[in-house]
Amino acid sequence: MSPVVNFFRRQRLDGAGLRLFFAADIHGNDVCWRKFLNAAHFYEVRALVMGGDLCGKALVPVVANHQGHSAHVGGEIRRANTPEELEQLERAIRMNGFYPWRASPEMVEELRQHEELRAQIFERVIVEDFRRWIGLADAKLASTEVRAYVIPGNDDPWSIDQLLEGSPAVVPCDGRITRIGTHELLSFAWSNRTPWNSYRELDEDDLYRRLRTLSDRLETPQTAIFNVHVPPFDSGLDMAPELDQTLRPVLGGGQPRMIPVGSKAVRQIIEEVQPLLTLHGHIHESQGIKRIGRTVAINPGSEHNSGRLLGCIVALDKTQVRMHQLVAG
Amino acid sequence: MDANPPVQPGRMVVKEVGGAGLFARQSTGLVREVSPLSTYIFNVIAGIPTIVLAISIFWTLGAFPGANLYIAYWLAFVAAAVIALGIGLVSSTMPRTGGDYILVSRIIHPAVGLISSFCETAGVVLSIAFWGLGAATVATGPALISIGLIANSPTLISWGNTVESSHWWQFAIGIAVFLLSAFVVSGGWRRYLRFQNGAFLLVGIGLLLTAITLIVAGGDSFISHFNTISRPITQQPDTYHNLIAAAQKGGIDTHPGFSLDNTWPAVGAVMGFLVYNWFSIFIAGEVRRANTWQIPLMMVASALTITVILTVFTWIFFNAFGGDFFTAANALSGSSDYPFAAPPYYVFLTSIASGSIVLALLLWIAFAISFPMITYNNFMQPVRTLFAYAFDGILPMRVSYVSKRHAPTVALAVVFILNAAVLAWAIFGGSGFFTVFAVAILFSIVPITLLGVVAVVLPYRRPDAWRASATTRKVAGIPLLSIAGAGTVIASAFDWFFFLHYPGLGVTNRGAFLISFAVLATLAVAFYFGARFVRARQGMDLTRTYAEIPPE
Repeated sequence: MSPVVNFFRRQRLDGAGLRLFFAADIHGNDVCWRKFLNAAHFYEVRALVMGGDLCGKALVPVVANHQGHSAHVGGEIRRANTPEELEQLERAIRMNGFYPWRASPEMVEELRQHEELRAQIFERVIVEDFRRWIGLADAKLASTEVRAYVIPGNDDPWSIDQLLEGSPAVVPCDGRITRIGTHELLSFAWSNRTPWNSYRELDEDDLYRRLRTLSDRLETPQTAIFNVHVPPFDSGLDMAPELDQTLRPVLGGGQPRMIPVGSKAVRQIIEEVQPLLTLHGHIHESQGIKRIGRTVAINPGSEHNSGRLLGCIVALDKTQVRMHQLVAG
Repeated sequence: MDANPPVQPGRMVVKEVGGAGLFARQSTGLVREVSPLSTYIFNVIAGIPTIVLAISIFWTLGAFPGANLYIAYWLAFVAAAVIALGIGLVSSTMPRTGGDYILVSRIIHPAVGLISSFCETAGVVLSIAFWGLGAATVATGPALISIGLIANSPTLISWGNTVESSHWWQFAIGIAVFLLSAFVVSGGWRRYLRFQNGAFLLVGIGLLLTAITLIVAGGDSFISHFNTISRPITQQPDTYHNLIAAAQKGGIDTHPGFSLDNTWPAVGAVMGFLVYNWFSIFIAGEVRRANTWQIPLMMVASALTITVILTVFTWIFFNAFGGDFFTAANALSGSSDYPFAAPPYYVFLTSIASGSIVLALLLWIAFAISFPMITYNNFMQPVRTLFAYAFDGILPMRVSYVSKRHAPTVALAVVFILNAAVLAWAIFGGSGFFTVFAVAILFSIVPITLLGVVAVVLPYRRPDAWRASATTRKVAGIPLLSIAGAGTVIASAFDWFFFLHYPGLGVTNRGAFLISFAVLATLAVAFYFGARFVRARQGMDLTRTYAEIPPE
């Protein structure tokens, strides 16, 4: 067929075609999670894939006082004197990816004093909020054909794993091979070592061994999709500031020095297996779409603290990626 | 089947952040590359005070006699601050790289976003060609002539005259500046900011040396040096006062009384360069603490910095060179009554005042660096806009290709070729370029007005984003952001008025602007719908790129 005719001919997916939406690193942002669940209808996709790092990073006490409540938002103290204002205040906190935590001034002071208590309260809030998220997913998706394929990320505490099990709408798939349309989906939450010593980190050798074990179970590796939280090393999807031992950026010319921080094991597995598509998150500032051999590798990036859901719509045939579109919903 | 064997659970470490009522756990996260200080410098460079002091202000002394420049500066500053506040607050609410295109396309309409960015890009590309030409005719040529005069070197003077008259030399110097700019931009933020901050320091040292020289060697000392340097050319002992007399004889009032009527167009002239202190919105996605008040405040601070520099140096120039002389020299520059091939730029006159070859060389180097500095600052806009187009799918993704060394190779090549072509047009194409360049400033006001509209409607179109921003204050029930946006629209309306009402500011042909704008707007709309059509054939619905998923 001539290129001109081909240009005017609308491309259609074959019978085995699949449209999916992928996002990652929403870090507790309630608006982003709601948008993720609505993305199936909005973008007309058959599957939602979440690439990990679901839990938020900060807890904001909403302090009760004689006038109502107050909390720090965006560098200023905001007050809420009515239930409606309180709801708006908590919503603004959630929009930034933080968890509102209603407390008395005495409880806040106690939190300041006790390290263990801070960790306990934080984890409890995470679990409560995540349970609410799963409930939202069930309410939105359970009655549809769409399923959300969700993995945690290296930053997510272990306590959320059990909440992923048993939901009719959410498919827990970390460390497993599941089916998504006619494709096999290999999912993996772990990352290589980071300076933060987060929950799910491994040395590259261990990472490779686990990925190899998993990928050996694929029936047709060349049509598989990988949902692997950490991006491949030096792929252009993994540029982040170099950090010193105190977690401060290493500066050069007064600015952070950017280095590739992805996983060499992940890169090696992609080069060896050459799946159809790999989906990654982890490095928020390294949005992009690259090719590694025949594999299309995507990191949609993250702007979780602005309430914007960065993601990618991907359309696949049985044997090729037909279309990919970065979106910011 | 689970491939993860049991692992010892990690431990959560939670700390209070700066006593600010926020408890954060230790976790991975984004570190943005550009410091607020660097955005401040970035925005000061967008209104480059050295070049403004050399070529963009003192011509108004002859064109609008009686204009009070100090009033003009501070009225223009008020407008610039209002514009910076409105645009800065929008940018802090939606800190995205890609500038006006991203903000306007998301909040108003994608086609309007393209109109905005086409206008901005046209203005910037025309400006870049002007900077390339200026590097030859404003910096290199006059520098050689100036140093040649002080050193009494006919060879240097001859070289300077050659640069001033040879199109090929001008093209070569312009291209060299573009190559340097492309090299700087291609090296990523580290190289870019190193050059930016280093060049900024050098320019600052140049201004400091200028001030010291003129305070020490101004007044009678300057008159004496000026007459000494002029004598071999004019064969007259007192060229200084002869120049004033010639101007007065030619009908130029060198000591006019204050005229409010003529101060208004001077406000317009100052606004022509002072209202671009929001340029860092093109890199907002890469700025640290971009969603705080810090960004709009940095924009206002950069406008304030330029205004203070202009105020101080205008006072110094008038006192060191003499008000009558400075007005006469600027009015007569280029005529047979003005004896030098180098125009009376402050660097030229300060070099004469110094009487020192070494100091003159330092002053010219510090001045000349302004041209690559503003050029690579301006290169950033089209490069970032092309990236935004590519990520949105209206250009092929390969336009956003970044090399192993993190250079935006394809976008940079496109911008370089476009700029080189426009530079060639400016140098070899006769007066056509300057007819269009005169209206380029109007192209650049289009995005300012549209960004003001964005600020007005953003709290209503994206209420969640607005509520989570640092700017939820209301005045009389109206969001501060909307009020600031209205201020931006009104301030830009003044800009429109000045340039369309006073032909002396350069826009002598309003029809040329209207036709150019109509062509650009039509191209932008056609480009958007063309891209939508093509992408639809590929199974991609472009309207989804610009739409927000409803969270409820």
